[in-house]
Amino acid sequence: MAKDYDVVIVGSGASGGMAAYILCKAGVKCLMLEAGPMADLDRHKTLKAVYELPYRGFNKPGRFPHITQASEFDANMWIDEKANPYSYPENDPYYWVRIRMVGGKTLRWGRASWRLSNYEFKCKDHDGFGENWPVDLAELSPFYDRVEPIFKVSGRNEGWAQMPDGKLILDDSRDSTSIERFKAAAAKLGVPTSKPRRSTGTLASSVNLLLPEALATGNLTIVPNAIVREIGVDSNTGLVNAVHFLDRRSKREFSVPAKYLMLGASTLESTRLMLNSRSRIHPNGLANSSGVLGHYLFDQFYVKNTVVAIVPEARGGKGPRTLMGGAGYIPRFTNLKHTDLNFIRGYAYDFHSGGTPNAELIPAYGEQLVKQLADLQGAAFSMTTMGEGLPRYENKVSIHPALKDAWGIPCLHIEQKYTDNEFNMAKHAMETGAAAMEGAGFEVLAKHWEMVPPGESIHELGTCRMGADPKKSVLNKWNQAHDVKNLFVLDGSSFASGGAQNPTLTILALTMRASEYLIAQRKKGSV
Amino acid sequence: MKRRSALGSLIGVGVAAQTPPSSNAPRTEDNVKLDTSTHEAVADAKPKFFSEQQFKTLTRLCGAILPAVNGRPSANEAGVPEFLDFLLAESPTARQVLYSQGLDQLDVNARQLHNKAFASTNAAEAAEHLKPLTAKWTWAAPKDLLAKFLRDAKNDILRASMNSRAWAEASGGRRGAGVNTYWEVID
Repeated sequence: MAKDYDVVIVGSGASGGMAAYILCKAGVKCLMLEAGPMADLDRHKTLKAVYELPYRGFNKPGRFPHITQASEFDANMWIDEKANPYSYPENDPYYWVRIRMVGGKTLRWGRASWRLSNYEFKCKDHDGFGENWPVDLAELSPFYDRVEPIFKVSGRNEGWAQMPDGKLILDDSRDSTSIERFKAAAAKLGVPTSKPRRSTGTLASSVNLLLPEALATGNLTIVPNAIVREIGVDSNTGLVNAVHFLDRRSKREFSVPAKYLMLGASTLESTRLMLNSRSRIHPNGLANSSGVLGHYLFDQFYVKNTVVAIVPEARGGKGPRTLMGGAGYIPRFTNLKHTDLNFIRGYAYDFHSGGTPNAELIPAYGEQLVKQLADLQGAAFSMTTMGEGLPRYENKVSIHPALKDAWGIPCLHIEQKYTDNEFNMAKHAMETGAAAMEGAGFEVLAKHWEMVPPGESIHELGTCRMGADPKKSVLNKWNQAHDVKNLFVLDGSSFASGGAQNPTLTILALTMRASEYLIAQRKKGSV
Repeated sequence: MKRRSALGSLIGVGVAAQTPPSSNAPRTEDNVKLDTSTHEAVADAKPKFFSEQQFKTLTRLCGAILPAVNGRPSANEAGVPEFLDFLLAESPTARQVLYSQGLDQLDVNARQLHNKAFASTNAAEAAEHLKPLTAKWTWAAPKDLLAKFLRDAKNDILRASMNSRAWAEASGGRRGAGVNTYWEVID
């Protein structure tokens, strides 16, 4: 018999976990439905040598055509692409990278934790493209202030408008001399440099940082292996009134009443679910009177190892111990003021000192290759570019007319292309990065500007964006659907723009804010 | 940094983390950990993909790309040709075609230039056919089939060598191999 919950939460990653964390501690009874299993980290994780694996670490060929991050060690962690298919235009591949497990992608995220700035929140005011967010940095800052300590974010505040300061564990570690040289060379080019900003700790997941406290209240019930198929609505009011789901293992169908629904199934899964929830009152998908649902898909394009260089003094292991090591970050520095560049917005870099260049970059084989690798051991200096992709109406997801997953649920067709703005930005990043390397006296071994396919950065955003105008957006400033007041969409689908910053910190802050808004509105009885 | 991890990092082998090979649970009388071996270490694998001539060509290529150096096993000592035969048998068609045509092309070129199979070439003769491996790296894969094959084969041969049991034994046993956290099948 269905139990009575105040809120149903779909998903258990960053957004679902934070919603439970806030709501349950405020006394709200929550049911969390997670499509994947609950991993027992003692039982499901063991240490193995790579030669013990049947494919010597290569992974089973063809198992993950789109998840380049998957290794043979963690293959069982990623989604089964055959059971969970999707489609894209023949010549425009989209790499949809998914994890279905309690904790979601917070079990594997890169942990980079940057705030968005008003260059993103008020992007249209700045350069005329796209739409502003209905929130700004001042409104979101109090929530960033609370999220950062929960996730133990370390870094350094610089006081730069494009890289807002945070409540950080101060990283005052000394830079290696190679990084000092690089920073000085970058400064001459007008390129700012800082420390990385990352969530710290052995595990930095909703599994250990959010869900335990929510469970401790006695107000949270987590149901793993619950694949939500459709959201039910009241045929008179159009409000959400039920959630229909299946047991992942048996495919047995269930329904649970829902007074409030908080969706945090991940950017594209939440939108897929809403598009699959058509009804007389919501004929184009749930909360889609604007027709915007599914549109304005974007992400951050990545150019991996944009520039790889050698620090000459480190060749042959001859450099002093203080020469190599460490990492840093370069925030967006282009188009902060009017410029004549051939693109708008900007990009960021991660840079690393140390390590050895990939063997494929070295034009040799045999003993010569081995000698060169030994000579270059620990002498590499590399940069990776993360660039802002623009939200465009034509980049979108829709429900495929025939394709269904292993549970009979219609699948997504995903269309996303990069344009000259992204291409020109990537070329600029390559040239600027190489100039900084050369300015530091490093030998550029390889440089390129070719980005990975859309989606591969795992920073897919948009498709259910927030905005001030209900005709141009799906959600209001509280992540609440304009059309369906008891529906909140919390994940990256709510983004109106994304900058070059990793999105998880903002997803957490937005969710905290939306959850507290819901609590306040429930008390008032106004939702 | 040990040489293995240095080389491993070069080829994108995600196994460089060297943590002690311990169980998560303490050993007790009821929780016995027995040493085991691997299939490859005790038996010959059944050939599945390459023709006899292709296999000979691949073996010669493996010897050229990674000979035994500084006490580390060569690619052939690491059983790389046999492993790649297995891997290619399960690979997508495009990969199979690349390897088959690449190996055949190497052999045809050697017969034309030296009147002998690539498998029989000496170091100087083989070098004439492996020149694409000395070209400057570009992000885009080479358009020439042989160059593209050699680039991919180089990476595969290095990776398969360093991820082998033989390499681990030469690097100090299990701890010298790439040891990492393995996610068991859930459910």
